[in-house]
Amino acid sequence: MSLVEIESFTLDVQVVEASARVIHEVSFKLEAGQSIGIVGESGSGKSLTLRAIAGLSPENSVVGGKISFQGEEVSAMDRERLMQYRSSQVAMIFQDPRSAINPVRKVGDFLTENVVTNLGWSKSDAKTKAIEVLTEVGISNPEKQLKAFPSELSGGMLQRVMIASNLLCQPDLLLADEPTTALDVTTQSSVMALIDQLRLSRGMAMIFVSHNLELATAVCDKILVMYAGRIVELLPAENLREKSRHPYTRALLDARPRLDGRQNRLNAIPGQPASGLEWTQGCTFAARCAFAQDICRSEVPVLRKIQESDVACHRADEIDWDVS
Amino acid sequence: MRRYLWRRIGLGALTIVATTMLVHLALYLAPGDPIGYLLNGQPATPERIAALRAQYNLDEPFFTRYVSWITGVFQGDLGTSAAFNADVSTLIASRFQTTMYLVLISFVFISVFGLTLGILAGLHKGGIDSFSMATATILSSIPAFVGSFILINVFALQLGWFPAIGGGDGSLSSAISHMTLPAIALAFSAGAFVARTTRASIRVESASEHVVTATVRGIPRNKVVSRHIVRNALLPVISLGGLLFVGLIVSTAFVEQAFAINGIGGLLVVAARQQDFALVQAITLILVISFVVVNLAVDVLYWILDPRIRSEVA
Amino acid sequence: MSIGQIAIGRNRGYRKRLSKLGLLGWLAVFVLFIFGVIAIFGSALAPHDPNKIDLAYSYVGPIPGHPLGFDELGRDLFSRLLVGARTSLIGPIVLVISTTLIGTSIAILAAWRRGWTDAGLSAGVDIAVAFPGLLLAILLSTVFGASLWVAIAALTLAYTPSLARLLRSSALRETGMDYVKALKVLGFSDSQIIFKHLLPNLAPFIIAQAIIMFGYATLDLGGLSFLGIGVQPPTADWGTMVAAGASGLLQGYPTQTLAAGSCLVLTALSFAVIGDRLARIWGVE
Repeated sequence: MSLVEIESFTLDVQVVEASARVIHEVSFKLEAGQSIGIVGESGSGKSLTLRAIAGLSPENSVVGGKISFQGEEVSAMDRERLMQYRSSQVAMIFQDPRSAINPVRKVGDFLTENVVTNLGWSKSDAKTKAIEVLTEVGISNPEKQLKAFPSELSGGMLQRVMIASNLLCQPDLLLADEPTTALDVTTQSSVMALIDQLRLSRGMAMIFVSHNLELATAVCDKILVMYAGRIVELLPAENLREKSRHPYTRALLDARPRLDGRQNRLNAIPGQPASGLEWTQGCTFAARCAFAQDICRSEVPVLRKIQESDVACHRADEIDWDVS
Repeated sequence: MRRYLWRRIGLGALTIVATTMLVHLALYLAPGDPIGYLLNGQPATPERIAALRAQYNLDEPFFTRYVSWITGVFQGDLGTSAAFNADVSTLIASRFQTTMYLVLISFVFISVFGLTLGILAGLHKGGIDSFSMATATILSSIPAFVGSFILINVFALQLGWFPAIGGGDGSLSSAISHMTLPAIALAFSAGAFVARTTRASIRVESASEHVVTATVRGIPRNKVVSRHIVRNALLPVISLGGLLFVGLIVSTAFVEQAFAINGIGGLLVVAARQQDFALVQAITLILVISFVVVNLAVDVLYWILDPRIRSEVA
Repeated sequence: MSIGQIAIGRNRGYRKRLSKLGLLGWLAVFVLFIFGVIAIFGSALAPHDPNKIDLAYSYVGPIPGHPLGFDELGRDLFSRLLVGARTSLIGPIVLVISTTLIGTSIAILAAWRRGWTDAGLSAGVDIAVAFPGLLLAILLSTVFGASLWVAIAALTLAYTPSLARLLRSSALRETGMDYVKALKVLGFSDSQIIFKHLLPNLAPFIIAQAIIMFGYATLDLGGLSFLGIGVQPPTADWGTMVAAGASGLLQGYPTQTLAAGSCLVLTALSFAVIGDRLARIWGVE
């Protein structure tokens, strides 16, 4: 049994009077202790997928398919079980800690709220543990910081507080939603390194959502590429650079500035990113794809196994990527 | 804290000076000769004219006149009312307590009723929301001077639960029984305003990311609501307090007339009808001062309740 | 299609969707229509002379031909209510028109000129907020004597800053749009752009605000008349009728106060409902 199993997950959002599908048939598995990176542009549905695992879906939306945690379906959990699941088995790190932490309550309240309210710890126990985890995430003078308000801490510090709060309840799964995007460039790497190190030392599984391929490859075992609400490619992280097959994945790799200086011009993917809302016949990426043929515009490609990758592209096995 | 407070006090003092100057300036706007205006129908005896010239320093330039008025205020001399032929400070002092009772009781109704309605409507969509907002719309369309008579007719005359008119004998218990109906009438539109603002604020806060964080950490809904949504959403509502307060004191004019209560608001209207400039000027001063003081209190409260302000200033 | 046509095209939609006013909205329109008819033809519709005093009929209840009975001086209440509609509604009309004209001009001037004009407006608004309209009316009537016109002037002064502030932000949004820049580049004069493009595009917002303001204006002017610093007796007016009926109400004859009060409440409520619906339909909440 996998830790997380997602089967044909779909999400329909009610827009004015019509319903629109924003996530189409997403399926993947995550084993205990494993990490998977979901990569895509904004609007690709990566955050929605992540939140659905925690049992969160936007208002006026309908969830389809099955999302299970340790064999138990999340949507079938009753209120009490869902709260227990959220308080002790999954944890989430958000993009912007400044808006994700209640600004009018003390850092200490934020850290211990879950364990005191839900897990029945005593306040003094919680405080002792909170000081421990704050030290662990590299915050100096933790006793003083417990009494501080979020507005008195820097963004990087706050994200560390966010991470620390998730360590207290020892979750099995960490959901990280672009945890470094809102931070200064200088603190990004240290915060990311901290997440990676704590995850490995505690054997937590992680789903890491990012638009940064490089970062995802560095901290994840598998990479899942999403485009317009669909999975277009799923492959082991170490294969990404050389063995990825989907034209979109290749384009994403190409759209990154390279550090080795072999390329002078930054390649952008032509056209606008599509969201799951946009309805097209055939492959959603076809409009922007250099390799699109008639079949791409008429038939939706399904994921199929090619060597170690799952690719949703009609022409994945024909195109020969020259990776030099 | 101290610097923040001093800046606020300075700003408040400036408001008081600017507004009282404007009011003082209004005397010049009066059509015709100021003496004729100030005589206000009294016989123009030389002694009377001389007294008025001395009281308003009519022979001095504007600034000197303003300064001497302000100095008088600091010495407790607010002038003499032409309409009542009495000392203005005595007239005001005897009515001040009544109006304060009225406004404070009304404040309780506004808070309890406005916040309850606003929080309910903000947290629940659909029926409860529509019902609460419809109630707010209806209440805001009932002005205090109409609401007063509806209440008198139903609760005083027909049901006999409360006295119909009068302000009580000054004791707290009689004040409460006499002031309940007027306070409710006064609370109608302000309560509806608070309800609408609270609802909007709750909606904004409910949609914020830190509420998602709390939910995803498994915090029970009732605790998310009390600790994260309501607690935060009330902050902007508190800042309305200062604005509401002055509006309420002035609006007591309506209910004081309807319930025949002897208070500041009623006095102000009588003074206006009689064109009693000294009295109107003095009451305006008191209103502006109370506006500044209440706003100062709100600022301090904000300082205590919202840590963001503290780090912003620091 | 020229840029001018594109810009004009933006404000075409708002007349069509009036059908979404809903049952309650149309009911409110109907009530206001009735009141409007009464305000215009009130003196012709009134069955009796509204000012004819007959003390023999003091506080007499409804009798045939006099559906609401008589007031303390034996005047026919129904006739007074009909005739009072005009004074009660003409004040708010003048007030709303003057406030809208002045407020819109200030807002557009501030948004168009920016800089000092804009800063001056904001400062003025901040001071004005500390002065409730009622206090302003009291001050002005102390100086100039009580009359409906002084009350209207005072409330115009009190309403204008907040309307100007509201409109200014929408006007700023509008002047920042590309079509305004495009029209300037094409060489259209300021007044052409303002009157042919900016104002029509702001119209839904201005109309919705004016309608909402109408409700407040009716209540505020009625209140001033009630206090004796608006419409002066013996002119029939709903606000003064509420006050005049007070002593009767205490003696068990509540008709005058409650009937006049209900007319005021119904007017305000109708405007509130319509303003609310229109703002929602036009998306200018």
